[in-house]
Amino acid sequence: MPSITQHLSGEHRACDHTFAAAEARAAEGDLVASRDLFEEFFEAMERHFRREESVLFPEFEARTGQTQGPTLIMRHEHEQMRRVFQDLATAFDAGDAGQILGLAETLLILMQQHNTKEEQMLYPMSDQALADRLDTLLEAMQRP
Amino acid sequence: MRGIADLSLEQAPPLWTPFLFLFGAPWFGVLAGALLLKVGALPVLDRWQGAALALTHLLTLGVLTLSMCGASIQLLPVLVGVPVPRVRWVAAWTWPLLVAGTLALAWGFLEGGTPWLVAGAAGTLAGLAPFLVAMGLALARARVSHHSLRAMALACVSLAVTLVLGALLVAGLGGYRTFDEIVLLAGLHLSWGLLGWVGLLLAGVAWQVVPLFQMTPEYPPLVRRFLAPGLFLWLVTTLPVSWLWPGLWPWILLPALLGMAWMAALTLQLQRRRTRKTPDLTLDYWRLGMACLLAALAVWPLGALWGGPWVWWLGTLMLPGGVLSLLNGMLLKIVPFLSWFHLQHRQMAHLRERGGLVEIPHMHALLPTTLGRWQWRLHLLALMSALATPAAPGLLARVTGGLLVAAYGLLGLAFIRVWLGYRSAQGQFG
Repeated sequence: MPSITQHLSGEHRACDHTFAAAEARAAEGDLVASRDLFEEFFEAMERHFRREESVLFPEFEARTGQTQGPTLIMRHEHEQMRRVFQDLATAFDAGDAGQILGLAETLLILMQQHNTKEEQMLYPMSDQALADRLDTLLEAMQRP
Repeated sequence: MRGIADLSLEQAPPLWTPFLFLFGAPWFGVLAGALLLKVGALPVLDRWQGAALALTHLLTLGVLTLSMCGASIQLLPVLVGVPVPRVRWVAAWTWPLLVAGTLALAWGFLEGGTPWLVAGAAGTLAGLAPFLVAMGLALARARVSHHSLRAMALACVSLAVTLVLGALLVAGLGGYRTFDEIVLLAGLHLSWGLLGWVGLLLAGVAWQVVPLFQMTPEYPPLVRRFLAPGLFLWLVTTLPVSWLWPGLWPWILLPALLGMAWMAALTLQLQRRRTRKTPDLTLDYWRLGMACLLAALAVWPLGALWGGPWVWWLGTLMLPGGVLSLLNGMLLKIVPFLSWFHLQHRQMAHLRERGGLVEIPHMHALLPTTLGRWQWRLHLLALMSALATPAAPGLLARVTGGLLVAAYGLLGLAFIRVWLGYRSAQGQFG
């Protein structure tokens, strides 16, 4: 059975791959293929955020009593990324490749900054705090 | 009550603190170029010329250390989860002293002599000491324990050692030591600065930044675990050993240099296996930097044996070619991203409190990629001209100087453009 760190970091890497493919298509000028891949990426990210916000974060907050700490910051950063997803969708509607590439690079840095904090701080803290509930939690997080 | 956005930004330092350092750095590159324009071939012919020492310190303290202070202030909360304590005070204290200290030191080497050197060393030491203490406190309180953290801590210790050795050198130049001792001390000072402070900090940052932002496989665990402590321990042994057996200098550095070469080769290999294939200027800068560091290792024994132009080539490959290339690549990303990050904070607060979405410029709108590409071309030209300089020192040293002024001037102007874009977007929020 993998840890929370392994499972959710794996989801980050899978999203990274889709992002990289979507961005590469945009750089080549194929905005149709890029949009399809970006939509796949948005869905995967949204699924990942939901797992964290509805399963992991409430469990972590209940166990540690920290509701104003790292989970609050992570929720806010999810909102920041959702905002850029919307901006990207608008740029695709306008067919503006320059805007798409600029937003994609901005999102990449925002996203990886966020992933670093989760993978190196929040997930290991969760693995420790929720060690006795790992099986149940991972099962809940693997549901589609 | 604090809002969510405040909590999120709480970890990030106020924008002016890293920007103070990052915006100042390119202008030291301009000064270094202007110096070469003025003095011509002197630094190429003899590394002990005052002009050569002034040039080196404008680049290492002015461009490099100033930017690395700014980047560390910004990266620490992300990489270790803890902000630099009292960051406003540290920035307001360290920046003016480091800037004034570097200028005084450069002037001391050029014409001013001992009083300026002493003032420069004192200013630099007094400026960087609180910065190092604050970094040490943040690293001690870190919420994570990983290999990058250890590398960054060892880099800070190395900077402290470099500063002490520099201070001893200034005392030596004041007439207190023999020339042989000064040559050895200068070698140690340079090794601790470049291999310790710069090398270890870059290694610690690379282990995090390269796999994440360039989407490469991770560095092997053994490298992350042992390279930084191994390199540091080796540098520690060089201090007493080279003092007791000066004949071993500089060959005793070989294992440490091989360690850095291994790191550079590994980075190039990982970058070939990257998932993200989109053209990226920062990646180009990293590859150039790593290739130059490898070439520097090949040139190093020749420089140690024969001196002359080999020393100039070694210095060029190591500093502007290797380390400053990596730095340029990172600065061209960090400055526009930070500006956007703070603007988005305002944008979301505005949306929440007043409704209505205010558009903000993304990274490429703040710093156009074409501008970055021009900066890259000028940097490459300056590097090529510097490498060709020994063929016609009188002419090419000045050409290199002109190109350095242009490359760093453009970098400085690009940052000013980012700032103006940031201010104008800020204005929309009232």
